[in-house]
This record gives sequence, C-alpha cells and structure tokens, in this order.
Amino acid sequence: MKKYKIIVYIILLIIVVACASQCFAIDFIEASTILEQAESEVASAYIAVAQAQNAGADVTELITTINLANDLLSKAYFALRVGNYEDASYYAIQCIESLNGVIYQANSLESEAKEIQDRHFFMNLIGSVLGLFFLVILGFFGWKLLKKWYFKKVLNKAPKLAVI
Amino acid sequence: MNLENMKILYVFSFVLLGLIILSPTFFTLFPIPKGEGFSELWLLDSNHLIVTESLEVILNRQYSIFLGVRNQMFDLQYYQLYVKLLNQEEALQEMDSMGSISSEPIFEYRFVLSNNETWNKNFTFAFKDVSFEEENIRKISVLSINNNDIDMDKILVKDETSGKFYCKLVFELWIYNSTASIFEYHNHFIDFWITLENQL
Repeated sequence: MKKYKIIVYIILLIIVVACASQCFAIDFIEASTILEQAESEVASAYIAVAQAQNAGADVTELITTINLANDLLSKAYFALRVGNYEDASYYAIQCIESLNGVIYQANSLESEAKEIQDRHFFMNLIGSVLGLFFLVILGFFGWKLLKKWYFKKVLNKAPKLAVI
Repeated sequence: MNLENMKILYVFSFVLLGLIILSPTFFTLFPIPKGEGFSELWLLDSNHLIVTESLEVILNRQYSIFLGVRNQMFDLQYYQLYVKLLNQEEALQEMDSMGSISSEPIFEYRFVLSNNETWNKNFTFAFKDVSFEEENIRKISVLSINNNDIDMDKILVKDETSGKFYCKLVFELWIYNSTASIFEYHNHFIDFWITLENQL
C-alpha cells in the first residue's frame, strides 16, 4: 500500500511540474511583446548616440555596445521565426540589459560635446573680433607708413634743382 | 606702381586677411552643405570576387559568401539587412515590382554604422533537406543559415529550358528613419541565383 502511495505521489509531482512548466512557458505574443520592447530600446539608444555624435562626441564605445545589442536582437528575431519563443525572449531580455546606461552615457557625452563646441565657438568669435580689430589698426597705421615711404621714394627720384 | 594702384592692392590684401580671420566663425555659423549621401551594399563569393554566375549547390554542403555595407550618408545610420529566399516564380514576379520584396525574411542583420564605416559579414548557408515531391518539383524543407537550421516549405519547379531547379537569395538593405521611428526600404538590394542539382 505504501509503495502505491509513493508511486501516486511521484505521478502527481510529475503532473504538477509539467503543468507549471506549461503555465510559465512563453508564447508567441509574450515573446513578440518583449522583442518590440527590445527593438524600441535599441532605436532609442541609437537616436541618443546619433545626437551625441552630431554634437561632436566620441561615441565609438557606445556604437559597439549598440551593435552587440543588435546581434542579440537579430538572434531573438531568428528564434521567434523558428518558433523558439523561450530563446526569443531570452535574447530580447539580454538585448535590453546590454543597453543599460547607454542613453544616459550618450546624453552626458552630448552635453559635454556641446559645451566644448560652445567654448570653441566663443573662442573663435573672440579671436575673429580681436583679429579684425588689430587688422584694422594695422591697416590704418600700415597705410600711413607705406604712404610715407612711397612719397620719400618718389621725392628721392625727383630731379634736383641745380643751384647757380 | 602709382599710389592709387598700391592702395587698391593694399586694401584687397587686408580684406583677404580679414576673411581668413573670420572664416572659422563663419563656417561654424554656416556649415558647408554635406551633399547627397548614399550607402553601398556588396556581395562577394568565398574568394572575395564578384558573384557573376548562379551558384550550383549540392545538398548538405556549406557555402560561404561575404556581405558588405558602407555608410556614406555623412551621419550615424542604423541599418537592417534582410535575407530572403525566393523560388523562380516568385523571383520573376518580383522583378517587375518596385520597392521591397513582399516575402518574409528568413534571416536578418542589424547594425549601426558611422559615416565612412564598413560592415562585413561572412554569410554561410547549406541546403540541409530538399525532398523529391514529383519529377519536376522539389521542396526545400530545411535551410541552414550561419549554422542555424530553418524549417520551410519552399517549392521549386524545374525550369523547362535548362532542366534545373532555381531559387534566389536576396539581400535587402533597410534604413532606420528616426522621424517616423520605422525601418524603411533603402532601395538597395543584391541577389544571386542558386541552382539545385537535378539529382537532389
């Protein structure tokens, strides 16, 4: 009798485990939802990095991170296509996790690059204004000196009157 | 040289100097237009040569080709490269249509490229299972891409003139449109014919 009880318990345990795995199994809709989220995360990261690069920041490392996330996303889409929803969601979650902090880093790099750009522009502007100012002064006095030199040269060439 | 000519030369040289001094500020405020950007897409065979003829394949043998994309769009770009397999009938139908091929992709690549940066990838494929349906019909059931098996039901009909079974691998380049937040077909594709041996 005790032997049968054990067998019944084992069978029940197997049924419970099988049901639980079915309950927690990921279906197509769930996998697609996670994939969409991953895709939107990659797109957001790309936009942030693109803006940072346009501002003049060095985003080489961030591009590498995004491309690693892209590889995971491609794997996730492949898994979804072949009906492996577990793998699809696994890769999608990995993709989301790999992008952790990318947008923040891109934004801070962008603001740093903008600051540097503004500083450069301001220095360029000051340099140009000062340069122009000195050029006008130099031009003015330079012309006076040149004129003086020219008349001196012309006068030296003029025929001298003989004193009788 | 008289004084008038010297004055003109003097003023001209100072105006030129002034423009040189102003140029960094000017070009920051009014940047030079970038021109029209474009992307390059190419496909090379295993010997890194251009694929000119159709590839005759044998069952279960792995073939390798090289794909490349170069960004000449002046900015960071997000690309998607779809791999599609078409039978002869689909391929001939799609020849007339504009835009991307309506068939579902069997594989895809996604990558971000900076301006002037190149993406290269070795693409491998093998026909793992091609079944004999009828005398003039074959069915591709399993295709392996980069060592990943894909189940499919691609029917190939024997070409009457050559007596061979044809299919086509197409690589379509899509680009991310940040404004619309979607990938759009970039009007770039590259393809090559595959011939399956009659013995299959």
